[in-house]
Amino acid sequence: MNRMEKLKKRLFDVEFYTKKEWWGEGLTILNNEEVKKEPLVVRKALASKFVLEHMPAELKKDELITGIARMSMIGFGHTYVEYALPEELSEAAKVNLSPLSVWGHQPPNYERILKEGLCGLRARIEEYRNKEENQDAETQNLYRAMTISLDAISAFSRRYKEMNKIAAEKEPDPVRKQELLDIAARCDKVPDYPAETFAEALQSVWFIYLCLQSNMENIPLGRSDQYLYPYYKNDIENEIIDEQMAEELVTSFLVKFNERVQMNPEHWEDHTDSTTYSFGSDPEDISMFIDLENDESYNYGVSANHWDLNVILGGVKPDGNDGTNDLTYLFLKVWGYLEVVTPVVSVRFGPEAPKKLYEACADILRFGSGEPVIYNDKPIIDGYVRLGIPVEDARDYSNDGCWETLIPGKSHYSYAHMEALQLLEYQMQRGDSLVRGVKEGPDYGPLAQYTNFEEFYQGFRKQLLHKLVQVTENRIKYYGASYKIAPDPMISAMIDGCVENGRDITAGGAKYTIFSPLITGLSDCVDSLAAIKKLVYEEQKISIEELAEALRNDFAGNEPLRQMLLNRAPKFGNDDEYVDSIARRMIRDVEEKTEELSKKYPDVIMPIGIGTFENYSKFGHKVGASASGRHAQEAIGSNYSPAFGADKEGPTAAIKSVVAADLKRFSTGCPLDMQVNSNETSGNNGLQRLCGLIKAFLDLGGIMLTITGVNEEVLLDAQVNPDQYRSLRVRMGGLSAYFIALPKEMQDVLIKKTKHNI
Amino acid sequence: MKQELNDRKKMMAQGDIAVITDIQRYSVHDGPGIRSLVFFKGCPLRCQWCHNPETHDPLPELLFNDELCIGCGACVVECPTQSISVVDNQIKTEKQNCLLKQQCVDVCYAGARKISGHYYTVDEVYEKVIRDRIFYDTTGGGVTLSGGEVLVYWKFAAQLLQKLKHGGIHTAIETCGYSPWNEFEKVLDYTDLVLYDVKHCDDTMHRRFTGKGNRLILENLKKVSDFNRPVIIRIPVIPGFNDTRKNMQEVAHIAAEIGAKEIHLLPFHQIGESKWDSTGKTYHFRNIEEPSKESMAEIKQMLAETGVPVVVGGS
Repeated sequence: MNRMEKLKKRLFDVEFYTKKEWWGEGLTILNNEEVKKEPLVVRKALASKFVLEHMPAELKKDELITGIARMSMIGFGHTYVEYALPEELSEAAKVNLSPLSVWGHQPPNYERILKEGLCGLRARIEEYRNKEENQDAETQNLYRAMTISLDAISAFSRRYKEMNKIAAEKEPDPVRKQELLDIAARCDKVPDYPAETFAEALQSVWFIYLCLQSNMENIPLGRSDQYLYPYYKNDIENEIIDEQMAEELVTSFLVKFNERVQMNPEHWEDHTDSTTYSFGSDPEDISMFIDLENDESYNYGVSANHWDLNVILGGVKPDGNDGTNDLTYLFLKVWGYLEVVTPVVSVRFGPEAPKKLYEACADILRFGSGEPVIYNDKPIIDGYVRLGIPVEDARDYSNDGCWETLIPGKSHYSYAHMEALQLLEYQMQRGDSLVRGVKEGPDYGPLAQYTNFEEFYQGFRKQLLHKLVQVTENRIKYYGASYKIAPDPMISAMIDGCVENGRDITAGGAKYTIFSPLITGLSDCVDSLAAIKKLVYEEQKISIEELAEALRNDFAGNEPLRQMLLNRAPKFGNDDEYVDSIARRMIRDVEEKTEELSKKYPDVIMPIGIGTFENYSKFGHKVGASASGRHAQEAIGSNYSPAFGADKEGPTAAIKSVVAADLKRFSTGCPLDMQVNSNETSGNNGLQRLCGLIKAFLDLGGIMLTITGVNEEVLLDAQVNPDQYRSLRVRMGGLSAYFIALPKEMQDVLIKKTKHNI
Repeated sequence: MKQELNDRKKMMAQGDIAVITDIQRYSVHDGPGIRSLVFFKGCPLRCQWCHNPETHDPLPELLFNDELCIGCGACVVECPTQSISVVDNQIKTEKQNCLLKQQCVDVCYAGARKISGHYYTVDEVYEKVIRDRIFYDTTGGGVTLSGGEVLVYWKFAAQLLQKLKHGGIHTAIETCGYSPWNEFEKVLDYTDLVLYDVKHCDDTMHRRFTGKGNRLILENLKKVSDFNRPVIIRIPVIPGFNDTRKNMQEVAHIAAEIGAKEIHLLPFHQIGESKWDSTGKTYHFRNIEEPSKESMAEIKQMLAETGVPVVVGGS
């Protein structure tokens, strides 16, 4: 077995089935009176020092990159060492915050760290610390906290230097011995000093990621192929390493991110509470929670083995030229080989993206992975420039760990959901939530007041824009709130603007402050509005009050009505102007109001997104039956995709629907999630067709695209949940049929066939 | 009503309208690239294994799919000829009395009752298929006319194809070839690629299983190749009918002779079974097994010896 095979085997056979310890809970730095007197931001830094000094450390077999991160997971939160005083905790709790409220999402400036080393960052801190305007206690404390944090990282890397040295002394195999000595030498150099070799660069990035992650920062990798490329190129050109070694290094690097994966649900531990992903809100205002609690066990499964970790490859460089390089392809190759779930891989396509990149991505996509996620440079960059970001920074955009975009190393990024389908329910039910049985939303009066669709839509628009204002004002109100309990001095030292402004990232220090309102549940909402427009107001098949009643009863005893709503009103995603125009209108209304709010808060950059993330089941679970014909609590369509089962005209029609809207302000992102059958993408013809499909999407101005291959699992699920797969077609020469309309025996045959095609 | 039908028949004869069952976007097995597929209703053959039986008869007809029926019974009272009843908890329809009033279809919200086949003008089809133009451009795709049998509507098809060619769109037809040549060649004028079915080289066998002999079909095939259009030979591989060594060798010979671009082997499948049931026709191939992977590989091997590329399945 070669090293890559050994590394992969270790992951799949050992690491994935080892239960990891959640270190940190129950530990404290407050048993020292001197420490207790320190300001909070310094205590946070001292806590991070404690964590990096004492957290478990371990060497792994065959690794070329060393270091293990402390245990945490998106779905299960964090544990941390105690550093806040009781009065600080109770003040924070009043606005739903705690030391665990570390938002993460934004990557540090990896490029700068590689170029300057931590000593370069320290020098800048020192320079600003001595400036006259920064002599006040608060700013001095921040600089001190930053320095303590950076020193802690340096000390941490030396822990691994020592461990690797000792291991080298004990190592009988001379080859491995030398490798361990080289690793130790790298740990002595990076991240303190600028990296010079590719191995040093990878080790530096891993140490930074690890140290931040171990201090609760759920951060992405950003444009790894871009900032690592100079080191790779230099090594290859000067024959310091060859392609084989580069591949081993990248493999060892990516393997690192997967050593905390746990496949066995019995190993999972839940450490979330309502403050985990909070940036502050009134505790009474439950609508502000990003609520991870529900009564279904499936929710956790979705966010398990997930760290908001994303690497985004390719795309244009700040100078405007296409940046796709050999490292882009190497990352894709190694990631494809490892078959791992993290990092999530995304690829940016600039206008000059090479054919090879299309083919490399299509070749991975057609085997069902759903990644890489495809990003369209042109509209995203244009959108940011339109919002005032200088074009070189806009061209350097990356994503935040999930799919939303930001400017890496220079941003504070946050978002908030506007759950459109829930808002429509409030309008239909006078503010009531059907699932929770309480009044939650505004009551704008009886439904009888709407005598036609235009009036009804205006009522909905009121709900929608009220929510938009509410989430925005809440965000504005609580900027700075988490600084008082969960400051981020470590990452602030690494994000442009914080040192220069003398402000922590949680207190507005970053060069760019970005906030995106997200439209959630757009397609189901639009489908419902279309059904109301057509069947209630135009054809008068049912009154609006009768419809509201039927929804309250989840269509009990009225299946024909549900079928009518499902089948007799057009659905979003079928290139149908009737319903697509409603989507366009809703998008335009949100855009106009956001523009207005943006003028009110000029320091905040506000692009918009359309998204559910992976929580489309959870969001659906919160809402009762809808006028689109959807049953209570059923999953809603994901992100900017048609509702489940609604897209009956295939991928090209779905694409036409989503690009019909004016998406100028949607730089945050709005993924269309698409499925293709494996027998449509086989062979070279299939590959080229998929490339062409992607190209057409980009040419039409689509913003983000995810493609999943329909595999056996999907078809099996369709047998069990036919309603969610009403649009699933199976195509063969000269024929297509809806899968759920076939007799079971036929479905079984097709499932068998699909299995063989992949 | 009768007057309406007569008017329509006149318009069909003039090539102004055609009966079409479906216009399917993102079709990838009927010609290169991403295509839109137009299914014409009406066919001179009656192949016993056909997977589109709702396209045999040229006029619109009622279809009922039992799988989608929710048993609400709303259709029963609607039928003006009282042809719908409930028997053993299932909906039964006497189709022979159907006046195509569509009242039962209108109240079937579950979509179990449908009219198969609608009238289209050339412009109406054109407007639908050009919506995916950008996908044709980026994948080398276009529009394929199929069915049923496109040549039944040769005048309409020729006009439609001409319009598509003027619009810079790649055109293809899928045909069984059973048509007077003077009509066929009018369609070929505007066709870039022909997908031509060869079901059996023996005239008697062909007649027994499809209702018509193969002489006209094979003569036309020769003329198509003389017309200088790329041809893809399509062979539906039907166990017990045409999967013999002798027949395949003869098809291979023909393919090589006319310089076919490719041979596509379409293995028999039972996907169409439920459609036979929804039309109420008798399906003779219900119990026939699909050809095995081994036999498909064997046939492919045999045909590949001609030097013509062989593909199993569509493109």
